[in-house]
Amino acid sequence: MSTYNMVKQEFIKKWITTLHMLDCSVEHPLNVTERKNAIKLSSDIAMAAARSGSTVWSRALISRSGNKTANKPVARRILKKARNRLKNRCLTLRRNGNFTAKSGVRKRTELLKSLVPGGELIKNKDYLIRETLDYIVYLRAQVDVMRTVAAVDSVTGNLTNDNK
Amino acid sequence: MNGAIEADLLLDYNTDMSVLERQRAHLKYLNPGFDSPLAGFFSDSSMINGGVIDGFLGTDGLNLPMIYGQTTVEGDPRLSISPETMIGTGNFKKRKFDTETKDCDGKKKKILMMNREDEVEEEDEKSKLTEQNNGSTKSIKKMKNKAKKEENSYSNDSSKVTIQKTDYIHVRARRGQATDSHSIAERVRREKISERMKFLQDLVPGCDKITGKAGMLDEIINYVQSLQRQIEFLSMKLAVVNPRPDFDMDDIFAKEVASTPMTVVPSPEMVNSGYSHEMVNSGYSNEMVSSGYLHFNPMQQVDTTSSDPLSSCFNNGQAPSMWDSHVQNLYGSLGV
Repeated sequence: MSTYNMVKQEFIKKWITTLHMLDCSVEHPLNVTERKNAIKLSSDIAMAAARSGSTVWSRALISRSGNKTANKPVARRILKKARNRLKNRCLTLRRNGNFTAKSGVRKRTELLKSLVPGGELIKNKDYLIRETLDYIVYLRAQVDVMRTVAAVDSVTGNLTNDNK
Repeated sequence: MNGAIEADLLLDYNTDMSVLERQRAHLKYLNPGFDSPLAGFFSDSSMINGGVIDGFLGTDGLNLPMIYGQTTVEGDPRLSISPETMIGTGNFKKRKFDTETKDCDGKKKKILMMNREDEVEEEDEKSKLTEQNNGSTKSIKKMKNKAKKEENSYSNDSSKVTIQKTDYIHVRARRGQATDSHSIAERVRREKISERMKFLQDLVPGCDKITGKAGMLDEIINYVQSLQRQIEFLSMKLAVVNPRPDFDMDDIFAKEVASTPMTVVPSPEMVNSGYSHEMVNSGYSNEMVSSGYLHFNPMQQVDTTSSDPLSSCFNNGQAPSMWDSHVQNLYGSLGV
């Protein structure tokens, strides 16, 4: 449990930093969708950075996010450290949509590979499951943190409404 | 979960001890003192566990492959492991040779001599396999049966053992199975996969009843998809609530901090003593400082070494019951 707390703590720290960076570097987006994308992007980057590039999915996530933050050089500074470890394969990967799965397990493995970032790169099914485990853990941490923040937001929103 | 795994090993005497389990037992023996990753993990029904660094998963403290290198071995006096559970881990402890000769049936006697040599050689940490074609042997399970009667000698023996550093783990081929190197390596690989599937089973909720790889992969896929969708939804929700993307934390802290008087930078004891409003607020103000917000400066002592107070705020023995709708508890649990 304490390790999970540490994970969430790391994630919070990184998330705050990335949110800052994203916000400082660009004019404030007014569109809800844009805001949502910014939040999601920053949290994804934070999650991957919290894992600090030692897993395949975190590197793949960083490279994916790097494409989206092309206009925001400030945010890229965060990614720079982890990106140095990226393989170029991540960027140039094209998913093969024409696979024909022979059996149910193979089909599902392919599907899982498509879900987990960077999963297609993993040849060994062994490693794929290991990556998935790790990814699930961090996803769960992300969800928990965001849920708490959202709950707090709604509560404080109610409080300020009451005070008016 | 530890108990469950040990129970599996113990109760199912008919199945052979897997090659993988033998390896793990070795690693467990060689690396005493690790906290059991799964003990707190599953009892708290949380998701993550720390473990030994595998190299692959880096140094962030989350090392899933070693989850199954779980409990400390019996050399550790801290653990109050029952003799039954010790057996699961203690298969490969060096035993005094004279203690092995008691109460074996005829089949076990045959493998006694061979297994003695095995145990001498099997003390290493590498995972490269090599096989010995000295003929098929009974599984190590049978050894466990007689090991049960020698539980008292375990701790004595393990302390007297000298570890031979060989480069590879000698694997005994099982009776009635192929003995060439490829199939043994293949078998290990399959066992690793099934092991990890088991852990995924524990990780993904509601997966207990499902057997078979396809069904479990289905569940895993569903879970990952649902988590990703949850993140989408939550980020949309956060975007709606906040006027600016970076106001997530700002707003929370601003409202909280403004409403209560600030106190000193909390020491770990202060935070541990209770989750009062001010302490939590000042704890989070430190977090604010670390994130660069300067307008809260007059309210607290600026701590440039922000990581330390941050971690001191967070590293409490906070119970899972923090997840209340209570505002104070929410703020406290934000660090949990």
